[in-house]
Amino acid sequence: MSSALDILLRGAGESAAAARLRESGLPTPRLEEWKFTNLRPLEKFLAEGGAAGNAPAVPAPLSEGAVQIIVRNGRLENVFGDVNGFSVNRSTSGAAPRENSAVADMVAALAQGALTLRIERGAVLEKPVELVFLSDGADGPAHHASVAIEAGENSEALLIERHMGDGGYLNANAVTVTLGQNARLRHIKVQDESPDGFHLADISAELGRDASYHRFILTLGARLARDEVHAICAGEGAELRLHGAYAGAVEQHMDHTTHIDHAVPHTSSHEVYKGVLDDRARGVFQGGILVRKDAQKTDGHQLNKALLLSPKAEIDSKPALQIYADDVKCSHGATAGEIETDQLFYLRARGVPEDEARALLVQAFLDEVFDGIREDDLRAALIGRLHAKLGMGDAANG
Amino acid sequence: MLKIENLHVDVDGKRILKGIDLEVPAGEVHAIMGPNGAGKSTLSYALAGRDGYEVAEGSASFNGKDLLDMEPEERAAAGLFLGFQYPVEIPGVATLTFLKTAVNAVKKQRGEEELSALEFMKLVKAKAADLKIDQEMLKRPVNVGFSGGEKKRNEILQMAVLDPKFCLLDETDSGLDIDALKIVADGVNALRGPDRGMLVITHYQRLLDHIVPDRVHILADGKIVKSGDKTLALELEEKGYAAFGIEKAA
Repeated sequence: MSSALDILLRGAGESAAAARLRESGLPTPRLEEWKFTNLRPLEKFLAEGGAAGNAPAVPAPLSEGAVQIIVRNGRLENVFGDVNGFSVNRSTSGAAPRENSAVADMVAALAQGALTLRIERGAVLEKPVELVFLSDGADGPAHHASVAIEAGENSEALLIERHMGDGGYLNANAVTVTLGQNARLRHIKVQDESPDGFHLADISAELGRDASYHRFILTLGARLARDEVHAICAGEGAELRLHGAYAGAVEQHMDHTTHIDHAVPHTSSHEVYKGVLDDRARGVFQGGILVRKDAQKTDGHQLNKALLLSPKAEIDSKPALQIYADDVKCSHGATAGEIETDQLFYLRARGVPEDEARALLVQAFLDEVFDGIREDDLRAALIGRLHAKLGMGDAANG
Repeated sequence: MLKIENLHVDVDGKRILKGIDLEVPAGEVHAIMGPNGAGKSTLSYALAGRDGYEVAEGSASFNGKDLLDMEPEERAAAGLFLGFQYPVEIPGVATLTFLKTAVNAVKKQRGEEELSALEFMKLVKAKAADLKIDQEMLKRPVNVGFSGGEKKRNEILQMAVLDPKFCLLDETDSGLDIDALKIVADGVNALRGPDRGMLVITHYQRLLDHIVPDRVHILADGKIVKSGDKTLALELEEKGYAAFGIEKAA
């Protein structure tokens, strides 16, 4: 058992998840699932302890009129009764992990209670709900949050999840999303952690019949981040969309791992991840698609593209398609490359200075992923955050 | 206006231009004709400042300033415009955004005030109408899915909007049918004037029926082998390159 794990598990109860963690330890690159992401920097951080930051202020909502729910260092600050079709409550224990996932185990073993966000059956939320996680490491180097999102039958909602912070800390969270029949949930996550933070997230989504789950993630922050999605299309007609954009610089490590399970016939998944990596940043994309034997007429498409702005930047991409049904439409594509010199010269020949031309091309590369966000103000706010981040790195050294 | 002296240019370590001497004064349109492989595109890229086109010897000046010492964007800001033989596709950037970025980047470098959205739209609409470019095309990403004619009209639109002092047109006629050629030629002719110089590079004499040049130069194997007035183009068309002692290079 590593000393970092000792530190983490100090005070953890005797749950099955804790027992599994004690048994296996923190994941290492020897595991196929963790081949490209090494948690040694996290272990070092936990062993040495980090500098707590200043408590971050609650930000203005990304989308005007959004209802904000604040979780500070893993603790829910405000509880909502049933207002306008949704409620937020604390419960004493988190949901047991659905999947074999180290992060989910970690959170299940260590989260002090859980929060449940329920969208009532038939409710159509007019305002987005914004779940804001603020971290500063003041309550210890690591905190864990367990979140259950339940979208009732025929409900419709837009959920925004934000992660922000200051100083050094580990923010680990496990989110279960359950969509009832014909539920429609759009879930936008913005990972904007402190540059010294660690972010580990496990998302487990289950889509019922005719349900539609559109998830979008924008990854900008943390020195090491992993966002691991397990989604199962469990009901016929279920439609899943996983979109992601990321921008890494300096020595950031950004891992997006997804597992899509088409369990029944007539379901679809559409997956697009695009990232820009500068300096010594490293990106990881692992995309698993499983089409079970009976899942005929599955429509599954996956695309991941990375733009490398520096010779030291790196992307590791691993698609894994397992298709056991014979009447399906599935595709995947992966590319990694640099900015096209033709495009750069074309812009410069029209008078656009090199830095500006590069920024424009990077923006153009990523913009496509944002197309599915219908709200103009929200899309502009997200693109604005992305551009601010892109201005940070040293784009001229590529 | 544009003065090129003894210009030698290497690409991938191979000498392509072997001593070009050429002067285009303001108010004149010169044409360069030559077979494939003569170095026509190398000349235009070298003048526009593309990476990989190494000037080994010689000089090029623009209104008395050393052109070869400038970055590509500085050449554009100084008033040099290159019309591309193969306009580049830029997915994700709307044509309008591209045009506005270019216009304002040039204005900024010149220390002029940038155009407001309204002024810009007014300018683009007028120029686009002249070139029979509809508004829908301007909303599409730069050159993505454009036909050959649309791409070349888009080049001329950029030229009209940027209002350069000198136009360098690299095989603007290639891939165009006669109707598209006329629209493009009209667009170019509209920009002819006493203060502007033009260098039109082409493979075919046909273009020069529509853009009538003041001088014609024949480029072969990296050198200008013959210069004359517009009748030289007709003579070349009639007799072929062989009559001028030029073998068609690969």
